[in-house]
Amino acid sequence: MPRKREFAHWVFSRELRDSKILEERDQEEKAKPYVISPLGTRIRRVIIAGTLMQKNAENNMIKATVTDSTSNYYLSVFSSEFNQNTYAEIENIEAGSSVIVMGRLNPYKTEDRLYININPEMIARTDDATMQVWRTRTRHLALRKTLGIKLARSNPGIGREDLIAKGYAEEEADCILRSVKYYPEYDLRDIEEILSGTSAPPEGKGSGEASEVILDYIRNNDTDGRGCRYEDILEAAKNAGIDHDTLDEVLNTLGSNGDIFEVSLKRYKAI
Amino acid sequence: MMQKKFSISEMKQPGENVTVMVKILSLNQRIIKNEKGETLYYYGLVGDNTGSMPFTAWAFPSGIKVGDVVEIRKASLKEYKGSLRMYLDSRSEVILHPEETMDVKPSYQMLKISEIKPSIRYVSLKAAAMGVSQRELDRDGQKTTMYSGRLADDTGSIRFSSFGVPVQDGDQLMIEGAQVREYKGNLQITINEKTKVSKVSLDFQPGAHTKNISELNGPIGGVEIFAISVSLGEKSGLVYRCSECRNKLDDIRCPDHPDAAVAYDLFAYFLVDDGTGSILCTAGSSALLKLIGMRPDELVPSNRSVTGRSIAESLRNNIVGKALVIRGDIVSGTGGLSIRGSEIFHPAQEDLNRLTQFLEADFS
Repeated sequence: MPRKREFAHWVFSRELRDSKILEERDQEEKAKPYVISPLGTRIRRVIIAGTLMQKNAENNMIKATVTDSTSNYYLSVFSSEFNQNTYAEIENIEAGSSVIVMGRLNPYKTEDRLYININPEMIARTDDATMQVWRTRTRHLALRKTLGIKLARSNPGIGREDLIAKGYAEEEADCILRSVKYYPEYDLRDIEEILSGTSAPPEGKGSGEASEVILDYIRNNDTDGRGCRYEDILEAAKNAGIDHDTLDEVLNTLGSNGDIFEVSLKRYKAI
Repeated sequence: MMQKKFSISEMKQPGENVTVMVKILSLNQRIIKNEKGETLYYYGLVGDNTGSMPFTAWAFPSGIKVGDVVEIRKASLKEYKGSLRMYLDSRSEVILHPEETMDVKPSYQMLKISEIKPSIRYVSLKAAAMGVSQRELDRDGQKTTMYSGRLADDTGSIRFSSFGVPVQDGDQLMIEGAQVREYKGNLQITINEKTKVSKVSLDFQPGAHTKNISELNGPIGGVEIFAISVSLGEKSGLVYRCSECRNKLDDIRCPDHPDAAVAYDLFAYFLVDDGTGSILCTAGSSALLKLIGMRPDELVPSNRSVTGRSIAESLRNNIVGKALVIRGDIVSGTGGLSIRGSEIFHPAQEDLNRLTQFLEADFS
């Protein structure tokens, strides 16, 4: 019996960035676990679109950052015999190009944070019309779920069949109920702002300025040569007006740029 | 005690231990494969002079064929997808009555084209005829005119053939009792002298209809989808054909027409995704030439710029990672549903506006 193709979800980077939950699974299962997003989307594969902001090749891997203006996606492309075409494609795409990517999520969970990388299976340069189709559809899918989650939150006890009767597809109804279960406190206003197209730039320092602050801190405070602890960097970031999420983005970006590396778990060193 | 024999029209409620005398109108078999192995079952339609009913049989005698009159004992009636269906299992008995004949009252529902399924034998619909052509046929020594084309309503379109009943391009019709058939994964309907056809004024606009991929659940024509292509099949590209018989050539010569010239053709297959699901799209040269911006007279062996490599590159550049508007027919095959694209293009601003309107209709 042919295996069912893994569904590829169209999601904004903000929805991925705010994801905190990894679905529990059997120890014997080899595939990566599903990520449960704040909108209840159960994700293992995505189709994303945005601008390739930067890419760095190291050994036989290319790390890249793609932004869709709501946040960033982080890509890791390994050169292997199964992935030659994708590796060759991304090698030939310049920063600043519009790209569309289909890939599998590679989540990594620490005690307080979920890091999500995307391993692309397909990456291609694309055009404005494709970007617009992707944005329009992704917005529509997220908006439907957001409205459903608000409905479910204001009607405790609402069931799958009730949501289907109100016009939601089975998959959407499952997403809505998962969101209510796993993210009861998630503030939907940020997502709603993004969907209404009126998202304001984040308060505090811009990511460019924040990068400089964080990189300076890591360079100047690695006193014992073992790298700076994440907790210390976080404290310094807060003092500089950089919030937790922005710090994580900056650390990812600095890593992708090759400015820093994670010398051991949650310890960062400048190169 | 003798069991009461029910007529089809009397069977209105679910029940057990039912006995009927019916004619087998259609009989098919299918294999379900799962972790436990394979299970064969039968399904089809039975009828009598009061109507017809679909059935599923987990056991069925091998000698019985379509047209036979049989007595079925110990059947059960259950609701399936909103209508009553007869189920036969290992306890049921099917007794052939070879001496019996039976007239069957055709029964048909008024349906939209998107609701027509291969399991439905007769149907009534309101639709406009499009692209109608006609030709003369010799059937059993009698000259008959066959009209063929498409019937379209506000949910999709379907191929039709009409034997002896005139249908003209643009006719707006009420068709009662047309037969439904599936041929090579496509649904089509047949109009014959028993079908009632009358001209009406339609209260909808027929044409291609935008759908989400998740909404596609069976063969239907006249569909439009907005999707992004995520792959291109390895064997997509330039196809060599015999200019005489149009058969595909594996060698440079046709085994049947070795002196005939080679003709060029295009074929592509690729997976498209619209965020609600994915579906395989197949397309031939009429759709692909427009997509890659080439004229038909340029796709000839004398054009030295046309090579397998140049075509493959052009298809890749125009398909992979690109948004496409695909119009065509949904076809059912062994690998599931696919869309046969008759028109494929990159969306212009007016198409993007149409997509936005289509999606926003959800919230109105």
